[in-house]
Amino acid sequence: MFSNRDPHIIVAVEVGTHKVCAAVAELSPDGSLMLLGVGESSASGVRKGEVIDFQLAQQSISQALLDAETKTEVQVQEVYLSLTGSHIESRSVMVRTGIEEDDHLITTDHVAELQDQAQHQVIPRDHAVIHELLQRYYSDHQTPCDDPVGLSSQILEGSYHLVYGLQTRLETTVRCIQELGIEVKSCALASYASAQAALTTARKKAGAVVIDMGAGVTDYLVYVDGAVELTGVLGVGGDHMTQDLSLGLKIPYARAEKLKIEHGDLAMDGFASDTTIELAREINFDERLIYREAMTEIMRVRQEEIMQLIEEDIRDRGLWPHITSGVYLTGGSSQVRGLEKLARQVFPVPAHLVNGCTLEGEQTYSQRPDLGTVLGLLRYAQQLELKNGRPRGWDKVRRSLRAVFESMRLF
Amino acid sequence: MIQLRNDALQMNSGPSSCRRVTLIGVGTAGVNVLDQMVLDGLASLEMIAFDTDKQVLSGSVVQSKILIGMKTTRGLGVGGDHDFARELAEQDADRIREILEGVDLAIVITGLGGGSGTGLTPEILKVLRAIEASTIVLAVTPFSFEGKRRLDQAKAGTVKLREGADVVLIFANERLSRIPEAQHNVREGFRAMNRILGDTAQSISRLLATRALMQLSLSDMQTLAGRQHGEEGVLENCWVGVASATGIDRQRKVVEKALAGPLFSDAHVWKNGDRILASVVGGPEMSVADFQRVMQVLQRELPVEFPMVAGAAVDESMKDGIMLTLLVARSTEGQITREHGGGKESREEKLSDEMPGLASKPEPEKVSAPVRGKTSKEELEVLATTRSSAEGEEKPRARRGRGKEGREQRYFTEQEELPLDNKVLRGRFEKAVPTMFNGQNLDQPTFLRLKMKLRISPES
Repeated sequence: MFSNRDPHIIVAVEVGTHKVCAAVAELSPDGSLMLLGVGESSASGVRKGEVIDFQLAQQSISQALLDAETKTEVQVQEVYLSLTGSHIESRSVMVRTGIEEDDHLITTDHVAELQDQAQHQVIPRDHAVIHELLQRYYSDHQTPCDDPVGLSSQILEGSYHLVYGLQTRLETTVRCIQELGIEVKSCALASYASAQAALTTARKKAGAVVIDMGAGVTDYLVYVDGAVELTGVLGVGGDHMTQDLSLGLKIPYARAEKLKIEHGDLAMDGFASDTTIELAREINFDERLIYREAMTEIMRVRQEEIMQLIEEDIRDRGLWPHITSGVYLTGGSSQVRGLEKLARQVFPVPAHLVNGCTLEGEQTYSQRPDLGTVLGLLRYAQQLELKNGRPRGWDKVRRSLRAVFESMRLF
Repeated sequence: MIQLRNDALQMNSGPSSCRRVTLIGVGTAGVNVLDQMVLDGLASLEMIAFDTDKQVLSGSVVQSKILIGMKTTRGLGVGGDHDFARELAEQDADRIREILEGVDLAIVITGLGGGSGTGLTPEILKVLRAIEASTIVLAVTPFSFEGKRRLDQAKAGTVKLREGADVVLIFANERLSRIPEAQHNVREGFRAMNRILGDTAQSISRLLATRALMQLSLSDMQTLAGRQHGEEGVLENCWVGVASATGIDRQRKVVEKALAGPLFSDAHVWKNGDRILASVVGGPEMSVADFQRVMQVLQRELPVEFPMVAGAAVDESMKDGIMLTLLVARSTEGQITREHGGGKESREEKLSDEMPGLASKPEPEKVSAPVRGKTSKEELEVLATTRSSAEGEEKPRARRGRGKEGREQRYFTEQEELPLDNKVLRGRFEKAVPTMFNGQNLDQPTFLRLKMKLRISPES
């Protein structure tokens, strides 16, 4: 059995509203990623992407990790974790530093200082920063550049996209895992992770929107010119659709969920308006006939509303002209029939369904849109590991110490 | 303990309030409400208890207790005979006048249907009118299990009250039979009602007092409750929810709790009421923003739009808490309609139909709702149950089944019933933070917010 301490093994965990997934991958020496397997368990104690019952949530996580361990024969000891929740906010900030040396040469120290400034921006009280995502650097006269090191300039500016959320709520999710004796190596915003799975570099460069439709929340993220320009979390998801069905059709929640999966559709394509669906007899439930149209309408208005809210947010910020690649829909709830068509009506750019993530290795999971986040998180972890390189000797100790301090600041 | 309260009473009734506001409890029910207020530490006003039964008065902790008809009955009561009680009060009219002399505003609390309450109250109101005091009556009607005679007496009583008082608010005890405690234990049911009446009296007195932050006048109350209610007398024209909350987001919590009160537990209130009075009482640090926020949340959470008057007052003892009293009343004359136009029926039949808790037994939903900071354990237990059940929403449907409405109206009804209770719709998201966006609660089904009419099921 491998140990996860082995730097070649990466484990990504997503604590979703519907299920908990743990993906295990191997980072080969050449830097490519090989998926070994995904452990899953249905989540309880989680609503709208946030833990509401600690014990139950912890059990679900534990089960998912066990499942992953059984499938991949890797003993999980440290994980990357995706975070979500409607309390998460974001904004873009601009920071600057003067290059006071005589030669005005920008060094890595200056870049590090900018990063440090971005991390210590004023954010609302009780909030903690999840990401400070670099958008781009600017040297004198607002000239944008990707890598300023080595350039000469009087000042160096950087724009960052800051993502932060309520510290206590973020801590709860992290603590859920930590108390299982597993280290949380780093955290990522769920939509940022999903974007790594759904978007290629070319798409990011061309401007793209990723919408991760989960059970509890809908995460969205906008890339413009290769950089994250907007992130958002809507506390509405597939569960709401089920709840709407349950209330509208007067059927139990579990029955509504089953109806949604079996017959759920956002359009009446090919059905006459008086088509009915028979709900079979079950324990405590007499058989009933319902109009297909009622179901479709309830689901459609909900889904349309979710997408309209996102469309409005992007429109308010004037970002649509910069998005040329399109809208990419992923997440478990994106599997509902008729979504792509509806999305094309709502958004002013082409909309596409992303059918999972292509990773090397185990291919069983490649066609699963609901695993987009956790597989994207593996990509994110891969980028992070490669950036940090493989620490050795004293450097390793120093880095792990720094990681400890960083995590203390974060959580 | 009671001694302490009396100290507070003397302090508050000093020269700071120029009007003399008095709470008057008449009959066993009225006295019990006053007692409950004293025990809950709400006795900041002058209180006078009137009864014909010596036993009732001797068991009371109210400061001034007046026994009517001592000479005639030797304190044995009137045995439910309200005419006899009226005679006794007429005999003692001078004594009553002596005691009430100088009162500017009297809030009279009584129970209808029995002897003392129904008989004495109109006489006391006459005296109050003679000394030019304003009068507000809070009355409760009997439970249906108390029998037809009491109901008839109560009906007759309401007419007399309306003749004598400026404002008459009548609450139905019956509506409390929904609370599980009341189903097992009648005492608990009465106690819950006592508490509701006490809190209501307290908030009304605060709002009408001259030192209120946003004062209300008696005419506001009159508009709220209406002046006439026909010759027969309507047995229920008022519904109230009282709640208080502290801490973060207290403005939202207080509204939710108030709306979850037992008297609001079914759609009845929103069908029959037509005006709302909201009273906000806060600590010395309550800001205009706090008040505004409460109103905003209230506007959003109310299932229906009624004309609303609002008042605010400051109570030093509240600290950072907020107390909200939501009084929904029916101001218009005439019969109270049944939920879905079941047509005009005879009075008796209507009454039993109107009263909830007889037809269906809703399952309680567990909600812990500590209201006051200094709540006693016992009170907590009662309050924990004062929340309506999710299944309470089933009620109108069960009733609909009994009616003879056509097919068209049937599904129309289903769509109409849903938005009435905000709480019901939370379901799966009960424990999660509501998703609010531009003042809309996105947890509510979109189709309901869009007011879509759906054809759900073909008739089988």
